[in-house]
Amino acid sequence: MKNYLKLVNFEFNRCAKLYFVLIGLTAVSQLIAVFVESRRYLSQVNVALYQDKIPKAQFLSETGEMSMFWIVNNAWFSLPIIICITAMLFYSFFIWYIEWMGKNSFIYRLLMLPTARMNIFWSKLTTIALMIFGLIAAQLALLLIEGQLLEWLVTNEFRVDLSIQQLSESSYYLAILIPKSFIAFIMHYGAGFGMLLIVFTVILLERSFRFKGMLLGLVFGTVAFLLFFLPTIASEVVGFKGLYPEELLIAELVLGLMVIGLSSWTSHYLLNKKVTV
Amino acid sequence: MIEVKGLTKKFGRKKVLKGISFTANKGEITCIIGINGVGKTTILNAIMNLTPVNSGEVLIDGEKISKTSYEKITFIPDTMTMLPGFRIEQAMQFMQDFYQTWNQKRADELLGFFKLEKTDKISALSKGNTAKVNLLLGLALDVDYLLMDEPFSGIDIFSREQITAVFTSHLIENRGVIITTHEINDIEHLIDKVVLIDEGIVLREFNAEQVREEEGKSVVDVMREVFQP
Amino acid sequence: MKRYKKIIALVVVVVFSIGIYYIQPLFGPNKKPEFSVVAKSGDKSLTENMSITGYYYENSQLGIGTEMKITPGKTIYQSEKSYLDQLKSFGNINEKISQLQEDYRGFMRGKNSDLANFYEDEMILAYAEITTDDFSTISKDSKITIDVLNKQTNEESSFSVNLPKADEYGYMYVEDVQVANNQLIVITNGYRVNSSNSQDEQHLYSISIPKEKIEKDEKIQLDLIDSKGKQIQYVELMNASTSITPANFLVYRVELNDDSTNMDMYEENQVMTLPVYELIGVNVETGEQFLISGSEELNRHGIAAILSTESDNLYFYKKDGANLSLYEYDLNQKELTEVKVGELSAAQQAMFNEGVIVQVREDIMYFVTAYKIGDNELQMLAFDSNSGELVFEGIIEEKTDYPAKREEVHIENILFEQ
Repeated sequence: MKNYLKLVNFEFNRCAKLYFVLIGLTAVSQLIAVFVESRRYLSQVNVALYQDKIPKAQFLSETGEMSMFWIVNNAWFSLPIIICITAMLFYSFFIWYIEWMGKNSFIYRLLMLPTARMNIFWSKLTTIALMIFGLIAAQLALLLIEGQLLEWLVTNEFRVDLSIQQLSESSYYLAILIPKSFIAFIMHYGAGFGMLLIVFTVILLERSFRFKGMLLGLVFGTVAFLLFFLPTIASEVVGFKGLYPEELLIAELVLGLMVIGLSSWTSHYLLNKKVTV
Repeated sequence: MIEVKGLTKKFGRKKVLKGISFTANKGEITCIIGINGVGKTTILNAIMNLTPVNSGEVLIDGEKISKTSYEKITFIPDTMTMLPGFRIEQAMQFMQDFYQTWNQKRADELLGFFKLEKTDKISALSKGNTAKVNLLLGLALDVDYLLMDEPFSGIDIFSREQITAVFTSHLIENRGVIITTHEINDIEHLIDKVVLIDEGIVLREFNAEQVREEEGKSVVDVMREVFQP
Repeated sequence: MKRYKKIIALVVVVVFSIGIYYIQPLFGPNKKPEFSVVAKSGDKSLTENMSITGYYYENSQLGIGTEMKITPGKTIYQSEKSYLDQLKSFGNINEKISQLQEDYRGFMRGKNSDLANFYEDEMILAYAEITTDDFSTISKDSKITIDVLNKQTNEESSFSVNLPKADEYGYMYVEDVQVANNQLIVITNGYRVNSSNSQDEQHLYSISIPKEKIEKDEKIQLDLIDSKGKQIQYVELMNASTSITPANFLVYRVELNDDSTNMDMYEENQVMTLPVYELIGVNVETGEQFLISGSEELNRHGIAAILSTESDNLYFYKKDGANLSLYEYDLNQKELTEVKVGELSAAQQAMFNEGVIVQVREDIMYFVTAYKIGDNELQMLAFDSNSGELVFEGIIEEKTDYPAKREEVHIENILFEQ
């Protein structure tokens, strides 16, 4: 256990600098979104009220008030989110392949550590999970800051203050990343990390058997994915409605755990018996 | 004692190891000699479970390798096993974190001996110095067995002398060492046992001292006999 | 320890922010308002078992809202239900379905969640469905599948019958299921496809359960209606799809529109004539079909008519300035009675002008303002349909500590729970 934690700390520190830069850039971009959108709105107000001489009430009923809604749907807001997601996806692969890349093969050191080899696996998974949750936490904090900033930029009468929960309903990305219910959160991220686990297993297959391993990995990945989503696919695509929603949920949960178990066992086997430097 | 029994390994279609068997004793320096590409590195990797084998087994003091074995046996490969971005002190801290057999005092001693600074960044080091750091990371572990893969390849002569000096010091004393090389000029006088490999099998395994006395041949003589009959 | 500070800081921040985000709403004040029916005058007992369904917008402009149900004790919001409860009940209509699923779990498994496909009385629970191909259209293989559960013996029987003339129809679905003369009557709506055009068609298939076959196939006689140069826009069964209790009468609402209106649809200055409604009644037991007529009011206001299956009456109303008339059509006697209500006050007139939702129960007609946008109040009036007497007047009061800008309430239906 202690070795696992030390490895997590080690893995995280490796990319900490880049990670915090990523968060910083996201913050800057999203704050720009606040400025851009409120400027745009205020100039709209000015044109309407002072140039076109439209009464305030009419303007408000036609165009509505300024709110965080406009900001979360602005490109300056969503682009960094996409970049972060892409970066995380990329790093999910990179975190393994870097050990074999270049002149310095750190994989030697990792595999020769006097600790269970699966600790390497779990520590990499944990690091990515922590980074993703860190991004979520940063986004939550940013939403609060941005809301406050908006309050300073636009006066009360032209503004509606939305809670973060309300915001998570208004944006496609936020609804998936920060769902309103905790159970939905667990389900989204549980499924996400389940899939990450499968990806790791596929990577290990490739690292153990090279080209054949990659093909094997694709097969494995596809089978695992299908198995995982079997009940949902059955009901949506094939129209098999024999399960009530609660039962579907439980079926998904059980299958999910089974797939994760299978993947973990396979990774354990590969890491201990088949992986090669 | 390290016992290697009947290792076979295929890379794709090619059978690289066709049944390698030999032993290496504690307190002795065993040298595996063969031409480039014959599979010496693969044998060492196999002993350390860094690559799978198709058949055969390796016993270290009578036991198969497990995670705790890495506190008893270590491998110094031909490549750097640390993060290039690390400074030497960070690398040492890493070793200390994970290995109970890490001996910091010995590490410091080696640092001084190799004339390296702990604040040096590994990526900025020359090839010779990198090799020395590698060696340091292996030697500073209080392990019973030390495996080294081509410790002299591409190293300048002065670094080579330093490394050779390590072999005669207390740092190697009482440990079992397996070393691979295809040039034995520097250490012929240090080797206790020789394992000659070609075409995936052990052609001859012998004690250097014994052969010198009984047959009057040097290691190079035996090599010539075996490899160029 | 110093080396761990970055990651420990990260873990702390993560746990804190995500934790607060999910826990805070639990402890924080409930921001959504509580609604309750408050009587101003009249018989309070009328609202004792009354539930009002609708939609509540926190911010109508941004579309942030949720389904709601105003019950005597508390206002229930769909988005505030637990995750599992939200899964089980899509909105308020399917509460009866949820109840059936609980009581008859095996039977209800895999079946449509639409009350239109079900029929229930003390003895049986029946289900009828039309099988379609992958694209929900009728094919020559389409069948009517029937499942019947004997509630006493718990025996289930299932069978299917071929849909007569299936290849002539493009689209067909089950609109209602009834029982008469010991046969199951599957009531369908859909359209027939000829080579040139499509034609709406409604059928009553009388199916014998023991014999497992269609004994009678009646079409709704749309030619009972004198089209007068108008075209039939659509035909709809008025029987509420929000209950599955047996009905003695079916009432079809047929919407007619001028031919010319259709053709000028894309032109600017067209003269829009309002659609006209005709109603066709069907006696479920005898199969007799008749035109419900006798009043021009019916034609114009029939859109808002309410069918009560408990009293076999059709109810509707007409407001003319300050005058309100209530109409009751007795489907058995085929008689229309009109009752004039006393003069409406200005506030009551405003209510009708804004739009109302109507419901009938035990010969009392209930009217509720349909929308609350801005400052208007949700008023409720109840009249005795026989005497015209105002038996209840009240408002749906909103209590909240957090008045939301852009709040809107849409009222959908008034339900009476047993």
